[in-house]
Amino acid sequence: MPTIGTFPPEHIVGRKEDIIKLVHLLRAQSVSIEEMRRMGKTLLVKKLEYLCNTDQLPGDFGKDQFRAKYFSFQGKKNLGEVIDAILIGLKEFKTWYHIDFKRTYDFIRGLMATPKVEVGGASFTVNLPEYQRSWKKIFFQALEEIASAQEKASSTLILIFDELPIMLWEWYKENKHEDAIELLDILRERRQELEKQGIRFVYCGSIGIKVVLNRFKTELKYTGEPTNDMLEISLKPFNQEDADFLCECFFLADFKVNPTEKQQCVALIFQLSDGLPFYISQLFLLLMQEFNREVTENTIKAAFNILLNDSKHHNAFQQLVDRLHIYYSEQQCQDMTVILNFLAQQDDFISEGDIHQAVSIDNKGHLNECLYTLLSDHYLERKTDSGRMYRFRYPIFKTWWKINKT
Amino acid sequence: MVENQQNVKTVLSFGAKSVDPEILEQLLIGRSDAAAQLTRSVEYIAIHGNNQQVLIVGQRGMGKTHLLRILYYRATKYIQAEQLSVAYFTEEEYGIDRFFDFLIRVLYAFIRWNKTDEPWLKERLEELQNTPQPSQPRLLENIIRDYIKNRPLLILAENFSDMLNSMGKEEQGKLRAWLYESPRVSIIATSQSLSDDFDREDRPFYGFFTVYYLKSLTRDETLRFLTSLADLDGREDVKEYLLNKGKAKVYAVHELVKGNHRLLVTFYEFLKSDTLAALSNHFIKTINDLKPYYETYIRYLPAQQQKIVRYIALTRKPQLGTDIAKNCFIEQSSLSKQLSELVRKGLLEALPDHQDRRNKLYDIREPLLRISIEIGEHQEGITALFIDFLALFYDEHELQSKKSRFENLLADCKTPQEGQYLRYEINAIERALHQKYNIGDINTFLEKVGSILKEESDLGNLDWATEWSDKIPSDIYFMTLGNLYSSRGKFEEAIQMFAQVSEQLETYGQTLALWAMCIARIALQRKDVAYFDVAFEKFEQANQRGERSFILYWTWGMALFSYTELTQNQKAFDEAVITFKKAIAISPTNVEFYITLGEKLLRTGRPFMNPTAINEALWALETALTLDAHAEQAVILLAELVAFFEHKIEGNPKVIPLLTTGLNNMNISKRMNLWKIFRNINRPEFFNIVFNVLKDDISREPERMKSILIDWIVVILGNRDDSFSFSHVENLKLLLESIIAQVPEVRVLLQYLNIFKRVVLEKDDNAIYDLSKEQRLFFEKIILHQKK
Repeated sequence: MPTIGTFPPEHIVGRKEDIIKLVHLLRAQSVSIEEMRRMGKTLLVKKLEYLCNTDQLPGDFGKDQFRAKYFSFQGKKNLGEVIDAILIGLKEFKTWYHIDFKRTYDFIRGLMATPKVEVGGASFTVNLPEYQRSWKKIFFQALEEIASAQEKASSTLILIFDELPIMLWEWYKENKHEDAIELLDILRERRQELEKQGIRFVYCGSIGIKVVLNRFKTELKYTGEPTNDMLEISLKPFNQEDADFLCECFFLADFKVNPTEKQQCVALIFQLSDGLPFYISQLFLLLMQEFNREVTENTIKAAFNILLNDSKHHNAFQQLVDRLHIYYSEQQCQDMTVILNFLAQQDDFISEGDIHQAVSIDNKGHLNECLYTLLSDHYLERKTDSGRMYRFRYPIFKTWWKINKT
Repeated sequence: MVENQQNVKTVLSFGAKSVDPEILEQLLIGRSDAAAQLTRSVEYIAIHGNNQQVLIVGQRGMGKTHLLRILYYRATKYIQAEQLSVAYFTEEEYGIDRFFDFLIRVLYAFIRWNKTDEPWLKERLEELQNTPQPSQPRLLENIIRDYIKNRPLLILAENFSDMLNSMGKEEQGKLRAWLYESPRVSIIATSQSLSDDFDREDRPFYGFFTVYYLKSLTRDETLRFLTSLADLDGREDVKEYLLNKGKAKVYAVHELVKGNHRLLVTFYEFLKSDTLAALSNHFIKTINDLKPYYETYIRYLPAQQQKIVRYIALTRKPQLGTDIAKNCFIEQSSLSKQLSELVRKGLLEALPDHQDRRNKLYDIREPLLRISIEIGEHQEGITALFIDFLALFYDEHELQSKKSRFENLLADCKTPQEGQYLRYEINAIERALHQKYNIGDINTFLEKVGSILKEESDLGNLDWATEWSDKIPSDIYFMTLGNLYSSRGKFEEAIQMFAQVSEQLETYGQTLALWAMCIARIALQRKDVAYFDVAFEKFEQANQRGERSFILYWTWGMALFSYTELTQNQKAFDEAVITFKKAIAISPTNVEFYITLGEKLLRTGRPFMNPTAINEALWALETALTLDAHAEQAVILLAELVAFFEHKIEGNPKVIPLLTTGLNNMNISKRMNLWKIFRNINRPEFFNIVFNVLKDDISREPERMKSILIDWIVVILGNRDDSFSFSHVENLKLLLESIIAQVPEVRVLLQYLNIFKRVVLEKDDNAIYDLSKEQRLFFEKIILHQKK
């Protein structure tokens, strides 16, 4: 049934190629996944976790004995909560690596005269003021135990930190600079070392960690490079095969389609949604709610029109506007909006020079910076075979922007 | 399993949770599709391993609680089969400002709805309470996980946006994290609107939920809903009323409450109440019951938005953005965003500005929200609102009927207090009647009809009139159109209009009279004597209803005259004159009546003409000219009277001066037209009478008068009767000789007169050869009427 939100990991559709690419990279290094919201990042990493932990990774990745643990950092107020969450999550490691964290327990008992400690259970938390000074140490101790255990097992542990950038951004806004910097330091200090021992990190977020780091550099004079050797990847839309499969899954929920038209309908859905699974779901939801589950080319187009034109559905696209206001300065937001307004009217790639001619941004350097930011933030795509040329990355975004914002 | 063993088998306004689920299923009107869809979602959670995160959005009273209750009821089979765990929150879960609080409510919900497991759950609750606070969240997650085991968990929660708002972003983030970390947790929640917590990119639940917007009931669904209530209430009489006479009232209520379920339940009581009940008290109570309901809409709005909503509510009509900005002292630049949000929240609606398509007008979406705001603001308190409600809820006839009943009660009332109360009600009804229709609209409609009548243009198909049918009282509408059709001789169409006028109308007698007149006209056209009887029956009906207007007598008299024209019945004619004079007696200054009577006496009554009738006609025309010295038709009729009945009126000193005065009072153009008519009168005496006036016009307009004069003399000579004599000829010669200087062509006429005298009167046939050949041929043909 068409839905958005969470999925049981075994029901997450598609992304096989993305998983393969990701795991391939993770063999060698940690990665950062950055993409706008509702693109499927969390589902991708949840699927990764599931496949790793059930030994269902495709291809020959089985021999790497990947294990993964997903952590969502959204809403974590301070470093203590982050470390607490990680330590509690270590419960599963006990099963995987047959370790009892004795060294960590002893370490903690050494800090305080605590009679009963159970890492991974609910009777213990480091998120207490008395442990605050020792958070880092406790954390490293636990990680070291894991790293040693899995090094012996020749496996690879993937720690997935979802919404890490957004958490750091929130801490920054709430003036929790110390916690933010300390976490970054922790990650910087030990990541490379731990990677040598087979731990990999996946930082996942709807804003780029570099956006956060840029802000820290500018305003907090932070000079660290916690992600300098991490590869940044973004998600692509579903390929045709994955999109078709997703549609087939939805069709099982009593959608009515003429068998002779089904293929065209699926192709149309793929085309209109640009293969973005969130928008494929949105179209099916509209077909369910407004068109009595009738799937024809006409109803698909009508649903698409509703999605683009009805203000009730604009939250599906509103992030395009919100992001500019939230993460960038007023001037940058204004200038990037002007650029997007212009590009929304264009049919194809347009050169930097032409953009400069057309929009009211005098400083070409600043214009180029804005274009680059929009590119990095996945609004635009670029080709460089005959100079730098830009256009909206997804036609569906362009169409929405043109209808509603220009 | 059930929360409350004592389910109430009555429908309550604010408590779908307490109502028997079977009753709720029966009242699922307009929500069946939503219920089916959501039930399917539950099935997919329980059976197919899906997660569903659904947010049901609808204003208060649109049936969200109802839906959720039905959903829980339908989910019980999965719960019993251990395929699903459900945490069904209470409608108002106060005090949730942390993720931990949210999870606690899950636990409480388990305790509330699962009596069997209550001991175990309470034990774990106690364990939680005895755990140090920092460890409590994790323990609680474990308790929930242990309880649900491998079953998927469905959380049913209401007012979810309020919960998220209280929690704030960070705690929302924790909830979201928990949802992602727990593989099988679903939420089906309700919210009054889509708040920023669902809409903004930087909020944890941005784009997280599938949003299902509840739609308001349509008019037909409203009717079905109310009749279902009547069924449940065991009130067949009310159901019958709603389906028939009360349908218009149902639609009025639908407009008022915009198809909102809860408000319909409230107004159901109103709809079934006795018409003699204390309307105002009932209304006051209803509005007071609803007031808190609407206050919650506004209380949580930002101040600027509160200002905007208040302003628009009090102005009572849609407003332009510029006016809102000005009157609320809000910068135009920030107003647009506020207005968009208010539209998105469903408090305002944006309407097109037909005068400038670039603009939009903004209005309160729900009439009762406006009323709720006005209650605190209105100088007259509830009174003006009560009047508004009366005007909307009752049609004109019902209001008239209520007024009559209260007036009767007032006549019989025993105490001053009772009298005061009744006077209040009567006053309110009168004001509602006045307000019911926009007087401007009525005037515009009547002006339009008036201009059509004045232009005497073709009616066309009168399609334009349909747009007015809702804007003015129906009786005025049909009466006016009936008169319009009648004026153009479209009597069948006029009858159709008159037939739609209500018998309860105070002036229905006049309608009957006009209706009857149309029948009489048709009867005359068809020459159907029997059909006249139908007309006369209607006149009698009007008479028996006590109708005593001039309209009745005028139309009745006219019908009798028409009957006389067909039957030549003197008795009918005499009766017509008597009846018509009654109309005159009621409206003694109506010139048209006198003219018409004069005309009827002269023409319709010609077969029965006697000195009395002539004197009557004379009196009528004299009176007409006294009232209006420029009444052209009266002059014409008087001329006719003089021309054809001069011998019967000679000796009456008033007549000729009256005629000449009447002629002189006209302007020359009108008189010119009259001369063209008069030139067909073959009476030389008449020519003589009017000659002085004629002569003046000849001096003024000799060219134009020349042909008239020639034609007239030719008619006199050619259409002479046996009484035409030498004296007539000599007289005519004298008259013509007096104008020979202005009209030299008169010489020819004088020649014709001479020849006429010699040939016709002196029998000298050869005298004709004194004329030229062409003149002789003309003379022989036109004057002597000789055929070749």
